[in-house]
Amino acid sequence: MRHQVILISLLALCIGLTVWITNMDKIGVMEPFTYREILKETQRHLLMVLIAELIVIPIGVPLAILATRPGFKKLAIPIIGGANMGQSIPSMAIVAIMVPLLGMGFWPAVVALFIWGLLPILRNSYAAINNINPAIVEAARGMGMTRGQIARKVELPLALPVIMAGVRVSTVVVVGTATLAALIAAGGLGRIILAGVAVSQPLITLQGAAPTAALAITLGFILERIEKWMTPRGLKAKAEMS
Amino acid sequence: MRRLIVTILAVVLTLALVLPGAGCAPAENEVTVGNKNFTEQYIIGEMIKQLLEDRGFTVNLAADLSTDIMRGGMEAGDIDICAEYTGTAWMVHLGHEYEVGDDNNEIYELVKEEDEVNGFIWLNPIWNNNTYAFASWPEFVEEYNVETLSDLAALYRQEEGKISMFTTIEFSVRPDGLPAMQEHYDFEVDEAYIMTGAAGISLIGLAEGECDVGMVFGTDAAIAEYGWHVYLDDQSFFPPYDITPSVRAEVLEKYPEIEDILNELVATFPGGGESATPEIVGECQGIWQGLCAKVDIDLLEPEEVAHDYLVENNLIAG
Repeated sequence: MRHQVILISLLALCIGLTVWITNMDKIGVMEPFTYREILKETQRHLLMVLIAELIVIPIGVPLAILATRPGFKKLAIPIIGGANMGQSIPSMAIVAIMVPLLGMGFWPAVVALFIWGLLPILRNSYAAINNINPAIVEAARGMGMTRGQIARKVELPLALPVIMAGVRVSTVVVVGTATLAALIAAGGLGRIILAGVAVSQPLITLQGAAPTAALAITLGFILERIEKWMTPRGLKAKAEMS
Repeated sequence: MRRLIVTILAVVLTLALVLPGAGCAPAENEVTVGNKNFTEQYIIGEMIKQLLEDRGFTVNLAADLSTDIMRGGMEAGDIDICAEYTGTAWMVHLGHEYEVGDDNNEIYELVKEEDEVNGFIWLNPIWNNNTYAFASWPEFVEEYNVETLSDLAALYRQEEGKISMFTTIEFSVRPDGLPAMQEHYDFEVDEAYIMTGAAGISLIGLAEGECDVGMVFGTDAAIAEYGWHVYLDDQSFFPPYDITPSVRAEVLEKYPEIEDILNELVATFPGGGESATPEIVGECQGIWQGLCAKVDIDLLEPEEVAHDYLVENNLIAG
């Protein structure tokens, strides 16, 4: 409950800041961006993040689960290691590298966000399955469940909350990284942030940063609710007891 | 205890590496030259450094500075010599507004006069006018028969703004950038046809054919490389930015020979430090596009390019 109060006050603060700045007459020698422009860039920003995540999730989750299967254990090191390496490249470099590889604009930016968002999902999904208590799997096998049944009825439900946490982290991180997309002509809220930096007007930068933060908070909150909803009843009871 | 000592040592060592040699007293004949963080500035910084070294000075180079930091260094006395742009000095450092129509000579004279009061002596200018400009491929220019920014504006009016244009994010929002340019030349780019990105991206955008009109800077190497047509700013909308060596008055008092040495360098460029005409500016921009191309495209080191230039112009011995 307290957690929610904090989130909602932060969200209110971000939106309040945006409204306050947008209603100003002049900032230095500049006029602030209009509501229409902020809305347009927010829309573009959200679209970039959602498309990237919608590609990351169906690729990342199965790939990580595959790496935990007995026959494919060897895959784990290259997959997780590769994703780790991907994350260690500065996000700005990933965005910049897209220009010679794929050109500029919306889709190259989405690809950069895809690379950047992959690691949290891979790592969480991998850890989620691997950290399931072997005794539970053993018990399921003892009850005569087949391997497919164990995966569907035991492992997946138990792993789902942790996998969803990976999706949440990935999404929130990608909302921030997507601000760099403006550098390669993909637009988004980064355009407003960079405009503020370019004309040395912190308030303009804030006019782009506050809606970005609001977007991250909102998406994080929604995904957290989904995470809770997906948690099996048994696990919830355990969490409440402890 | 040992670990603590090692950790402290490591931190101290790191700091020693990160904080550049602070607090050395300047020796006799020692000066510090500052340059900014882009190609043309690397080259001019090296030219000044090598020329002065050849004439018996010990020169420190404070390289890769932002405009504010370089000016701050000059004001604090940490930097003795730099090559600043007339337009930057007039509008940023001296805080004036550019009046459309003021030409290269007028701005130089105004800056020279006013900055002397601040203790900075402006030497002769190099008329390379590294200002905002717009360029297109020659095919586009021929097809639509557009030579100047006025022609381009007329084309935009005719096509209702539906011609793609690429600018930096900064230019698209600066009040003296695209908004003012559209007002002055009386045209409007349709919102859906404006693309914005980081500085170098507009060049790639034009090179890759993502846009018809791309923003460039007057001395960009890509102009020479691709043979782009640069629209003539026929109504002098953009302020002139001519790179000009300036020296702190105290330093010039102590070493008055610096003035002649650097003016010798300026004299090798078109105009030779005398007054500018559009032809001289164009020629000088061409020379600088070529110098920048050696660094940006042929990937030579700025030191090397500066050295070769000084040798070719008999300023230093090869």
